[in-house]
Amino acid sequence: MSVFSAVDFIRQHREAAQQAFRELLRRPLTTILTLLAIALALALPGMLLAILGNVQQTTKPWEDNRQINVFMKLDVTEDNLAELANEWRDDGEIKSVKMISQKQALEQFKQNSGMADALELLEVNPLPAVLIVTPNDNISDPENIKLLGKRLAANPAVDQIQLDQESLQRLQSFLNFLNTSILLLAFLFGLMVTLIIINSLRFEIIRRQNEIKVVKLVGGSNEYIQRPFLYTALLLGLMGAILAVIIIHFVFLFLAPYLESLLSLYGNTNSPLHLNPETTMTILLAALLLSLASTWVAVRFNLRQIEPQ
Amino acid sequence: MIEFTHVGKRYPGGTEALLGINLEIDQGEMVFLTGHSGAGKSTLLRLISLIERPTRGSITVNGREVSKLPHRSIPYYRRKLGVIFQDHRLLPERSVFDNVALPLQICGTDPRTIGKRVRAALDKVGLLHKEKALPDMLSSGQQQRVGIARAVVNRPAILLADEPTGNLDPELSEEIMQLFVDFNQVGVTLLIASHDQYLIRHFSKKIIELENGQIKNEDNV
Ligand SMILES: Nc1ncnc2c1ncn2[C@@H]1O[C@H](COP(=O)(O)OP(=O)(O)O)[C@@H](O)[C@H]1O
Ligand SMILES: [Mg+2]
Repeated sequence: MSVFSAVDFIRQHREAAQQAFRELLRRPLTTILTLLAIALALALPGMLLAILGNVQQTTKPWEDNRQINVFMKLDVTEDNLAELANEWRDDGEIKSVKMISQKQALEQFKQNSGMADALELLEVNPLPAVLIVTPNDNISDPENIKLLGKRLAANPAVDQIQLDQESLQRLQSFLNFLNTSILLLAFLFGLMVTLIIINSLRFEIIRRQNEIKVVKLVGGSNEYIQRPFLYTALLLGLMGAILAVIIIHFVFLFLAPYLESLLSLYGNTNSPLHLNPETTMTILLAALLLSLASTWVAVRFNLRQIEPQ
Repeated sequence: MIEFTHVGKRYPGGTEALLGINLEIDQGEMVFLTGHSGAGKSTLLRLISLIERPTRGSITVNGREVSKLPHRSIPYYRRKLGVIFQDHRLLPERSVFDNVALPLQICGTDPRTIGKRVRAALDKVGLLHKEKALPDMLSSGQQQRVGIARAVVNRPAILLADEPTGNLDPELSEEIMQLFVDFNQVGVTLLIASHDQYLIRHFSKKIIELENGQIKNEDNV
């Protein structure tokens, strides 16, 4: 008994899906235009989410960076610098000190920026020497790191300090802002997808209202009547999502070379222009949920009212 | 089998289509419903198939009060009725076979049973050879017979027909009526609305005559 009803259930759903598919094929142009509209509305927030996700991923390793960058005044000699570095290495709160002299700083900059020729023209080295200080392991909370930074900054040879943590926090709050904006945008575009699908379903329901009336007349239940529309929505949503993924892929493929040559100037080789599996899943899942929501609305407000006369 | 008690129907516009109707149709009866245009014949049939609800009184079908049947139960109730219309209401985009199969498809009948039952119903109305045709390719007499095949494919105990011969010439009308008599002979209860006095008299069955929403005459033959 239960085996037979499961078979019936699957057959009924397969028939509804096939019917939905046939109806979509019957008007190929309308279907293609609807799919493109859905795909574009999914692709835009999808692209932004993919980029944001990738950026956040690459900035993660910085998170437990407790380094303090100490920029020296320009008149500090290399001897003085080494002396100060040694002094700090003995400090109870400091684990290690890495020294970058003015010369080394200039070399690094030349290599990374590709502006070597321009720098040759300068008579004096404009870059300060830097001591990169890593606090002891027991100093981990931001307040204590800040206090240590202040103590180091008090040294007359020091021009200014920069806490990695602070710049990280700044970056983090900027990313949070971006994140919220993109989510809001994704929500609005999701609403747009829902409206597009509802509109297609409404159109389809109105076009087929005579058929719906006849089916109700011979005893078709609401579930039976709404089933093909559910599949119409699912097909539109999921095919739209797949199309969106393809669009994003090609847009990234097109943009990647431009961004990569830009990023290489900063010594960064991690391009955020690729579609990670999480984002792909998010787009597909969102399309699925939006299809279901659309069906619910269209059925609730358009299908139920149609009664035979 | 079908019982009306003090049934009234007032349409939203204010028209009193039926007033104080009392009637009883027994199992296996064949009854003609007659009367002038606007007398309330269609309304009475629509009350039985729950296309409309009565505004007064009670209707029982098969011993069950149906006038207040919850909306959700209506489909399952309708599956036990066969309804036939003057305009036959076939689906123009589907073949004759698929049109007749519809009442079986909606309750999830398996394809083999559907095939057998649809062919049996089409055979009964003499249209087995037309199963692949689209309704528009058929004459109106044939279309009406497809409508009848669809109404009986589920083997309902009750058949309701609203002016089933309204568009047909006398010869075809008689053929259709003869089909109904055949169904009646195997125990189906029939209620047929028609204003074709000649045809009705010809079959000498029970006649209920409506006038301005009230029963004027009940002839038991
Ligand atoms: N849907 C409706 N809305 C309002 N009035 C209606 C409706 N259907 C029928 N009527 C009115 O109810 C009365 C009975 O109509 P009907 O049952 O169709 O009669 P018959 O089928 O005997 O010609 C008529 O006066 C008709 O105008
Ligand atoms: Mg009528």
